[in-house]
Amino acid sequence: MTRKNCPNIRDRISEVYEGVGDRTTVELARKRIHWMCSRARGPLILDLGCSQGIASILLGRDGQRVVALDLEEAGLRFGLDQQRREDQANPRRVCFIQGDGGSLPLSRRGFDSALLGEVIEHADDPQSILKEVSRVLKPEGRLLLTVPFGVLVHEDHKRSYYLHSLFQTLRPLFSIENMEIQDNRYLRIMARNGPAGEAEIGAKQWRLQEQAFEAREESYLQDTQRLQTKLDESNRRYRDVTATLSQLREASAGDQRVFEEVSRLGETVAAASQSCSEQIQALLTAQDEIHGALRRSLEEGFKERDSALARIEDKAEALLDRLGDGSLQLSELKQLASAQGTRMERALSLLDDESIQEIRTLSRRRRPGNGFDNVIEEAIRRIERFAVPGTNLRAPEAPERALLHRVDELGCLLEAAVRGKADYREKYVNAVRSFQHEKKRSQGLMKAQQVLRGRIRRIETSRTWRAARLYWRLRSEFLRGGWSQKKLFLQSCLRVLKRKLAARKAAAPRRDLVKFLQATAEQAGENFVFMLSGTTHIQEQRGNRPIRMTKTLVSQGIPVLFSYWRWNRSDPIPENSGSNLLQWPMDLIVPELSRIARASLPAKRILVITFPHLSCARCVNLFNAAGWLTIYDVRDDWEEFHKVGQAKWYNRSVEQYLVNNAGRVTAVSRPLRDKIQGMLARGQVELSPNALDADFLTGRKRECRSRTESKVVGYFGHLTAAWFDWDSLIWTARRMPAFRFEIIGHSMPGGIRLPSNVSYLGPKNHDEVRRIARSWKAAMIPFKPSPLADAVDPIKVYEYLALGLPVVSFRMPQIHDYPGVFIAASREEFRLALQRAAEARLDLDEVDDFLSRNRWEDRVRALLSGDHGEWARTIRSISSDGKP
Amino acid sequence: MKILFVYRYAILGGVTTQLSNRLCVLRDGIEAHFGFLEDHGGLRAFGDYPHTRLFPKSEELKAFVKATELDMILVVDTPEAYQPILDSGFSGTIVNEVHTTTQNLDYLKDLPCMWVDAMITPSKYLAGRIEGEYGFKGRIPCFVAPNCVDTERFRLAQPTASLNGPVVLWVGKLDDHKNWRGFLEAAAAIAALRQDCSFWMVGGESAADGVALELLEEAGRLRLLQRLHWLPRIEYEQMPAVYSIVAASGGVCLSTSRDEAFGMSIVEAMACGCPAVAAAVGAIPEVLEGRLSRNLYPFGNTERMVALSLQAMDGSDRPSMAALGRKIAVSRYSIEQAGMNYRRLLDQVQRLR
Repeated sequence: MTRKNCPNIRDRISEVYEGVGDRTTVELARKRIHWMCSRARGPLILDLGCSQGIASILLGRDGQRVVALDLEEAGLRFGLDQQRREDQANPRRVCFIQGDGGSLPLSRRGFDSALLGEVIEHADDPQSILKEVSRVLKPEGRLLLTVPFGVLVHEDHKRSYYLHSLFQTLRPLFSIENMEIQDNRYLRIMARNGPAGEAEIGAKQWRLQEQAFEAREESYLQDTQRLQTKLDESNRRYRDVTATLSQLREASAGDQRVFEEVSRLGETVAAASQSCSEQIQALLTAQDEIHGALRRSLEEGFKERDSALARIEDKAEALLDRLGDGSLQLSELKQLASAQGTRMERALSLLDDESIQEIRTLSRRRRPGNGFDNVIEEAIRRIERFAVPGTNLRAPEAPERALLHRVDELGCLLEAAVRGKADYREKYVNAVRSFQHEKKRSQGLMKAQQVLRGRIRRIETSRTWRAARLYWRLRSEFLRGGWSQKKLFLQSCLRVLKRKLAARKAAAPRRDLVKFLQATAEQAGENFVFMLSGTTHIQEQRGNRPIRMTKTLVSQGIPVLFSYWRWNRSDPIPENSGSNLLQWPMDLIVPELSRIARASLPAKRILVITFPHLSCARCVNLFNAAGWLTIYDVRDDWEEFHKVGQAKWYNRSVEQYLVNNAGRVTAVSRPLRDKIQGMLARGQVELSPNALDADFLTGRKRECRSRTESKVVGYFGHLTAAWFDWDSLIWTARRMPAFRFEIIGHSMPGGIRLPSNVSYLGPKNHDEVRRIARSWKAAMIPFKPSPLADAVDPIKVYEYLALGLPVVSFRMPQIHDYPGVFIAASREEFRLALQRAAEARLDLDEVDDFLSRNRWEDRVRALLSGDHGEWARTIRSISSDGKP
Repeated sequence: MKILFVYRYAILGGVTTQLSNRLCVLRDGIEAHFGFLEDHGGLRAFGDYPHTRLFPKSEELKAFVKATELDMILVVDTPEAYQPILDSGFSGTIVNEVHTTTQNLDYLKDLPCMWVDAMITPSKYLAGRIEGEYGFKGRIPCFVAPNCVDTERFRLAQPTASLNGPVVLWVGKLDDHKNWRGFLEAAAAIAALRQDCSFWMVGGESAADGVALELLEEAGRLRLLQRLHWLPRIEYEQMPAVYSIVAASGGVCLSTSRDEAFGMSIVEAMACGCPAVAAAVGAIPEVLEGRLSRNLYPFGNTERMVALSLQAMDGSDRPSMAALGRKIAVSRYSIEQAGMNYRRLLDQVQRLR
């Protein structure tokens, strides 16, 4: 049966049906299988040579019962697997059997239909298979068979089939109902079980076969041309290679080894070329054979076609004779009808309105067989009464003449109306033409107008035009009014000019950014940090966490791109000192994020995000995917800030997204860490408290020595009423008249009346703070107890301790266990704690030890060496440099 | 034969990648030139190929066409290129190639038939739209040449990082056409059923801040923020790695588009052995056909979409479906296969004149 002698050839019809292979093959296979399935009659069907059983499975889906038989076990196993997956509830629709088509293990007359798809061309003895199929089919049972049409090169194909050969093969056993050529590629046959009579192949089939041959021949010709082109190209290349080899031989004349190597190469190339030529020759020979087969088959087909045509011509002649007789009869009938029509026309032209009405009435009454002919006859009789003199008809009577006159008049009117209509039509046509002409003109005008508008727009947007307009405006403004007004006007002009220049200056640093990135790339450093700070630019009086970390990084020689927030776009960009730091405003950096992410920079690139702004959330994965290490450093409880009217841009979803997408998350305090941990799906939020500047440590002992015995308590930092508890401070100060309170800082709220023992000293830099604090006995942090304060780890606590000052604070969980810190739960406790602190002496060793473990250098070291989470590792792996 | 492709932007990915992929099969017997009106980094896709140029001014395009004896010009969704081409007095074959399905397609309404000899589209669906909706049927022949994918580059590579659960991947811009809201809705439903899934959204770098914020707020509302990873920009050369991670994680590529001219991301996913689930809209049924058509759902039917995604992730036939997808991608959309088809099509178009 199928592939009997080639057990290793695997048919993959199911896979092809599923779409594996080129589109044409897939579509042809589907069409062929669908054709068989759509014509198969159930309920019991034999699929002989089922291969992977796709046709059987499709029939099974339609509720048919199918016996699928093939010789090859692998195909059957595949089909069986498919069937199991197909329908768990009804797995027994298709029964797969291994067997030979030449001796079917099936009883006779059992099947309603049999499918033989692409089977008999593989068989040495197709008759034995067909006999078996005929045996197991019911009488009148249906055979659905497909074979490749003509030559299809395949190592297991035993013979090719054309119309005649297939017809002759099937004829003894089956009566062919339908025989078609599908897409010039397949023959498909539907036949009835039982031998054919004197059936013949029809002219249509022959025509189809001829068309198929033509299409195939054309495709073969194209193949030949393509092969010839390839051969020419190969020859050309061979010539080139030979020429190159000769040159090489000449060049390597002195070197025997090289010469031999080259010769060997030459031989290899010659052998390859020879083999290529042989293959092409073999292909051409195969093609010739195919041509021969085609021609032979065509000749055979032509003979059959000629005999069929001769028979058809005989029949056609007989038919033509009969048609000639018929046409003679028809022309006679036509003549008769025409004579009758003339009579009728004449008669009708003479009829008066009344008669016409009468005929209409009568005709309405007409029923089959009620004598309409009589009505006509009566009409004709009436007409005969109006015979004209000189003819065989009689002259009309007077009233009838009047009627005829009326008819004439009506005719004239009708003519006039027709003429009028023609005039109107002409006028209408003229009007339409003129309308179209006007339309074209107006379209032209509109186009011209558009062009003009464009030109005007260009002129209006040109610099010259704008400069001229500005000049005229300024001139008219200047000329108006007296000299004082002129002076004012000039001053305002200068202001505008300055502002514009500042804005232009602000746009200029893009060049600085490119230069900075290039310079950093050229440095041999290992690290690069991009700090998205959200704070102000670096300045002495604002020593917050991102600024402190940046300063420390820069002091260690690590380049930092520091992005800061500016509230006005015309604010000037700070001068950047040194080659390791570039400060850039956030509004200018956002459009450049993609460029920065992909810039060529040192191996370890770190992005530190210190505020959960939407821009930061948008860019975090941009940097992750580009191989950066990303850190979200949670330095404040932004949500609580938002609640007290700060950080208006805050959105909890954005922060949660950022937390889950940054490579690492750090938080400054334990309460904040716990809160952020609740947002994080996987991994741990690290605790990274604030720290101390080295400057403070170096000056601490001197300040301790210079401290006086005065009772002064101090504070420095932010003074906003959002968290600074002014009421408690005033309450405490009033109850501690022996103490003096010195307040240093920025953002002092207006309208606060301070007691006489409280002094506001304004903002001061570090040196000034140190100098002032020499007289302090203790320092305080009078923040309102709130979730905001709970999350804080104030930098000032490290600085107070460095100055040798005990610290008194309201509730602030992060600092509870810091050395030298007194915590108060109420105003009274705060007052008492201040008194105790003023008298206490700090354990300086303990404080030193604490401070030595909490310096910005330690934080920077942790920043540069930390591990990154699962998500960041995964996404970094897609970048070429993100591999471990 | 000398031909010129004209396209508006040279961007890595999309049409530019299609053109550079075709170059592999067009080198033989054809002198192919590639012209772009603007470069956004896409020119590097052509390496050191000499016939690649920029035409920032229409005069330059006109001068080039005039000076070069071209046989055919293929204008890819760039109507502004017609005027300089016509002004140059070019008399060869002009083909209009259409790849977009969005409102950009409306330029066809103003495209006079007499300018163009043929249309080429990547799908039957788009060809049907052009012929029907835009009335080109019977006026200009419209041919279909599917896009090709570099199956050597887009193949399953063992990821270097490990994942704890399957990834559901979505690729596209954050617009209504790609229906990102539909994806979030499906993600929420999948998340409710599979606790270990994560959701990756690739694309949308150019989305406005308002849209980005809406995306995150919607994800927050659907409790997806702990599992959502939005990658606004991934370089085209990184995409095989992304698909490979998704495939290796046991995940699925989910498309929620309302319409697709071809469905390139689906083919790319298939090539990397990553199962794809998509709505049966536009040209997607042409890509996901045969057994793969099981992964099609009616647009808007979230339940079905979720069921199919879970089936694609957990079904016993996942390996066979993935292998089938790869086979189909290679046999039909590889550069060799689709490229040669395109080559034959060019010959056919040239014979039209």
